Amino acid sequence: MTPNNLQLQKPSRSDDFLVRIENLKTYFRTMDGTVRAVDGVSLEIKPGEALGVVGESGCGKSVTAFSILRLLPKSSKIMEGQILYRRNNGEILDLTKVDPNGNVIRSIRGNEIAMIFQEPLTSLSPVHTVGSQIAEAVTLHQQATPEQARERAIQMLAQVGIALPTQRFDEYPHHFSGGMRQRAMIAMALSCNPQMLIADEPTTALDVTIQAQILELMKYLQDELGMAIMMITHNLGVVAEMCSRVAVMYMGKVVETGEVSSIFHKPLHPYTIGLMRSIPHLGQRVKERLAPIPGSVPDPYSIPQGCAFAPRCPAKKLPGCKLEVPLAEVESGHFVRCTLYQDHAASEPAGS
Amino acid sequence: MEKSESTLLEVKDLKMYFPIQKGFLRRVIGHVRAVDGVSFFIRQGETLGLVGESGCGKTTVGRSILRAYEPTAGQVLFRVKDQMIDILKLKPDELKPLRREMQIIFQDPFSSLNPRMTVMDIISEPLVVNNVAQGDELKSQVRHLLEAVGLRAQHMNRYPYAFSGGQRQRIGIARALALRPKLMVCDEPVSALDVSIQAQTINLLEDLQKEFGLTYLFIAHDLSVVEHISNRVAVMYLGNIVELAASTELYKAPRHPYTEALISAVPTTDPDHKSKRIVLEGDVPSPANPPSGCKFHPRCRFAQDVCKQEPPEWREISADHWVACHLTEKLSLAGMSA
Repeated sequence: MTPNNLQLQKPSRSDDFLVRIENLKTYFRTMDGTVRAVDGVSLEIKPGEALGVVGESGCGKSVTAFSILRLLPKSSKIMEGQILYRRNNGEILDLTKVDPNGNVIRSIRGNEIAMIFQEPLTSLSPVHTVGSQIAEAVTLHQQATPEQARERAIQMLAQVGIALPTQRFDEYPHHFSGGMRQRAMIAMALSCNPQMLIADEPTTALDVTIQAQILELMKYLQDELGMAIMMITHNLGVVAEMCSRVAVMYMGKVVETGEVSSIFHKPLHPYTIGLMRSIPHLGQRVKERLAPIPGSVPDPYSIPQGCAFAPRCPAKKLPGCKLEVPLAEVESGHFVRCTLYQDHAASEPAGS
Repeated sequence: MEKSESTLLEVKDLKMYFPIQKGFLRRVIGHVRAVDGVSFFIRQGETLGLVGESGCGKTTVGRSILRAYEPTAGQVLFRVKDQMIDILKLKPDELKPLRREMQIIFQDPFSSLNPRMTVMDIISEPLVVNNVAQGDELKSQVRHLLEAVGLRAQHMNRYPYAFSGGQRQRIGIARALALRPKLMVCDEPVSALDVSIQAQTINLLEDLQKEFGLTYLFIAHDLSVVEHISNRVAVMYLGNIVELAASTELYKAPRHPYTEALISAVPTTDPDHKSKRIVLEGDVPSPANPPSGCKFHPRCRFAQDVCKQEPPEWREISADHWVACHLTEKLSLAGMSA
């Protein structure tokens, strides 16, 4: 199969994007019906920036990431939308049109865009040494000789802070602790100098002190190597520390996006406000009662019409809640998908 | 340790060693010292938080108190009327009436409910086993319990699969409440839940505490959740409690270097907050072969020779503030700046 490379010459607003997702819809077909896991997501990641993607389980944040790398299971299909990606050589490619098993995506996956996963033990092969798994990626993508690949792998292990990398090269994942496995995953992901790293809940399975080590390492490597990071997490604290921009997702849609400072200081969407209020903040002197979001996430087979958050929304109901509303730019660079803010800014929807 | 009228539970020098067996004859070649000399007490009606990283022994402490394990050494004193009774010395038939007084809520709401039992069966089981209620009386008690935890009574004939994670955790709480216990061990009750559901569950636990006069031992690894719910907090490291103090004091002015590092490691939700983070090097050592002296010394930035040689004493350095550190008087440690 020949991949259908689309050379696009439509440079809309900002020109310096690395990945631009426009109105992406990824649906899953199951025995019980269609799950609209990603239902019209628009996002943009600029070179070298760290974008946080937050939301509760089932909001579609991981599926969005898997759509970029085309690592989706067979039961799913990208129904609509574009994922524009600027390759190393400047060529702009629509990843939704690429054959998921073809050579083009394989030359991007792990080479130009790398990914690290939540559970490092299940993502490393238990029957290969850690070093050989890192070296494999180098041999595959960089046309290196086995000796060069070994050298590169040892260098990467040292860079992510693993002591005695030459010895550790020949050890198996079960010899490593949880934090060290995650370091090895990062070493593997970075071994080919990717332009972008997708980190899917990279610290969720780790203890706080180990999480602190990994976050410091990722920050250091981002500064050092200038790569972009897409940080998928449900932990708002991790986003506040790591990212410059954030996108909040709910039921397959981006409901609010903007600079971290503006969203954390002044969240606008009722869901984002609810998320902020429902977590206890460390060092809070006055013991306030938590203000949880009432109800629970709706059944994915029957998402409410219009705003999916409306049944749980504490704000007063408007007729507009029954309608699909676009993301509106309420402040410069701060977009909200909520009918409360529609007349606020008669701007064009973000990213399209 | 000072005992007062209001102490509900007192744990003295509790030790729980698990044997490591090897070979065909399953010879014991060593011990995992999961809990290695822990002492604390809980007052009636308060919430004591127990924090620590995975493998530090916090769950083992909770389960040893309930005698789900047979501890190696130590005392667990529980107040029955006006006496403190050592639970670890009781025979099975003496223990049974006491089991009603202490219940546990588990972390994983998916594996802690039997999928082949209805909600009615799950919640009524403790009542039936203990001959508390039967027939219509049983049904009405279950109905009240479901309402107390915010579930609809008409759902009592459904099976656990029909409920979401947060609702299942409520079923687990209703089951624990059924016998009107005095002490509730909450073992990571919210860590498997999404943030918005987490807040609902925390509020529910706080309401039930007021309504039923419960005392909680709240075990968790999330420091901000523990700070929110607890009156006092104990920090565990590798089988020992290293610090115990009132929650506001512990977070504001920690006196143990491990507590300081733990607090500084938590990512804050304020993007402008730029604190100096203390990154602990390396990993937690194995509890089968813990370091000598103070177990924290290989990762402690203040460690001196004395820390390598002698285990620190567990002492009260100011009213209700307990620390196990040789150097605590000489250190000025940073807490949360609010």
